[in-house]
Amino acid sequence: MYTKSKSRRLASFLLVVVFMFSSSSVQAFEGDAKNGKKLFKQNCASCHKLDKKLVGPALTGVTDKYSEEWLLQWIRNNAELRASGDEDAIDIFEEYNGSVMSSFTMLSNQDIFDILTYTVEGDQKPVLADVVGGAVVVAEAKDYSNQITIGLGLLLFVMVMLLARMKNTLRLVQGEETVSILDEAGWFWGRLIKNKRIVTLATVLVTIVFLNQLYALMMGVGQEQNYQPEQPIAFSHALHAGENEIDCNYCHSSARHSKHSGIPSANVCMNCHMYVDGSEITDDAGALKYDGDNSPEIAKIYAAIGWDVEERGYIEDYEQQPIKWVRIHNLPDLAYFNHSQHVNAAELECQECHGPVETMEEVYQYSPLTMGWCINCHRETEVQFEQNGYYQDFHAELTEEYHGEKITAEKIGGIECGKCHY
Amino acid sequence: MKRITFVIVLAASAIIASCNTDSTTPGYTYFDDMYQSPSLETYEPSAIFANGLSAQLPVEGTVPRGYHPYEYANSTEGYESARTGLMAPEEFMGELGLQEGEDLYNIFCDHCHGEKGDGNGPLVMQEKILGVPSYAASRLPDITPGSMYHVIMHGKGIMGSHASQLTYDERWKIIRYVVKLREDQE
Repeated sequence: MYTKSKSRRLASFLLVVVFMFSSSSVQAFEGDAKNGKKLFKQNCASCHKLDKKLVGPALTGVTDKYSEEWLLQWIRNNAELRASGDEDAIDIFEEYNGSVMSSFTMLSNQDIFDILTYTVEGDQKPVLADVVGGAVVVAEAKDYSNQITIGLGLLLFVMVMLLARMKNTLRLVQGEETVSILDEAGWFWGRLIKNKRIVTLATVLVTIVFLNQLYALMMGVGQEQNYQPEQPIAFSHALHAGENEIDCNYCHSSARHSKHSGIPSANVCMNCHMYVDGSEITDDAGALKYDGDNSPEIAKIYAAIGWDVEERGYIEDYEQQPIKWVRIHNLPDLAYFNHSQHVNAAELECQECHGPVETMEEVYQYSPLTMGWCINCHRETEVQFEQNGYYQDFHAELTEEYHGEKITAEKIGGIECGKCHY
Repeated sequence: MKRITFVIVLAASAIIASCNTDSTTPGYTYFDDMYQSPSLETYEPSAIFANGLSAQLPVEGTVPRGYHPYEYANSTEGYESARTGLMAPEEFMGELGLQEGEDLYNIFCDHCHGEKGDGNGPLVMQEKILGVPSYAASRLPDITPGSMYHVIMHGKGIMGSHASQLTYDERWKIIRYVVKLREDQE
């Protein structure tokens, strides 16, 4: 491909030398920026951004800095170029502390031209329509249900007053005494209270409601279902576990090894957030949400762990601060619970106790965590004997003892007091 | 008289019904001495230590049982010497831990590297993380189990260190599975 259009390219290369300082949009090579963007995302984006330093330098303007020939050699096999003693190549290698760029021998010349064209043309920003004085006008759907209820109530009240007034007007026409609305209500109340059946019925109803509420109140002592405290960082499980499909165990990696499922330390956040800084998040209209700054929530991680956004590195001797997450699930200390046992041996999905966390913007306590709830599950859940060599003989024994009935956690001692309370 | 009882009962049930609807507070406890023993909870702040944390780091130089030290430096040279010098222990390179390796891979790697190791995980497909290479030999001809171990320990490029999330055995099990994925890519 290159040889075919070599003469044309050579001519345009000369042209660019002439125009190099007058305009940066003129280029020597011809490439397809769309294909270039695709290739850039597959091959380059893990270390380069167009407008920002990442692992390697920002690539906008790279075609102004270096010649086309040099870029071809560098991108294809930069180690070879450095070995040949090229000064530019050695300089850039040293500027980035000797971190080695991968070689891309599989890219054709045209591929590289496409990528370079993309670095020149950049992303085509979406054109915003209704921009008034820099602000984007977006109609917001508001919740009016409260106002509607109040409005209907007022309407009802006015109608009742009107009807009372009309009744009195009719009385006047017939030459009778008028009756105030309060007396009428009193008359209605008097009839009601003298009707024994209605009073009995009402008393029974109220007693039932009262006892029900009292029961709920007593059962609610020390029970924190639906507890949803405000967290120091607006972390969304719906985004991370739902949309991004990151496994629960990735962050809560100690759930497989210990009693606690563990809150990930900030270095685990940084595995992704070294790269994902939220600066590219757009709102519904396609404009940058934080004006190119980092998301304020992600910045809280950087502040806690001491990450220098500009230099892209951890600040030395930084006084790290703990992120003070609020604990939601508090099992009483009188009961013993172990995550690793339930995750590894019982092979339970996290959701069975914690509910649909992958849909929760803010996490709340899904299960009551009461003793009745624990025991119920132990009675119903079958023990996972499959692929568990440890239990093989035990399983055979139990199958004989229970004549092929399903073997639940209860049958291997899962509701013995001493299993959890000791 | 009846009327008064009626009103009182109505008011009482209304008050009880309105109890604890605020989900940002944990609710009420009564006589909770056995709920909250004096021992420290995990992560609980503690005034005993100077930095206010109950979770203290072990004394410097402490080595847990079964610990495997990793001495290759986090540098280009370290990577190179791990790539050529660090050999996978034979016990992990058979078929035995393959299933476990797959399960672990699907927890710790697949959201970026993709289920098949082609670099098309959900995060890449949504363009949130870009440029994740395929494991195929045509794309990464030079990687070895040793270099994979080094990358898990120290990270590389935009990938961070996963040393804190995985144990020694788990790392090698994952690498065994990645070797299989690499073969499948051909």
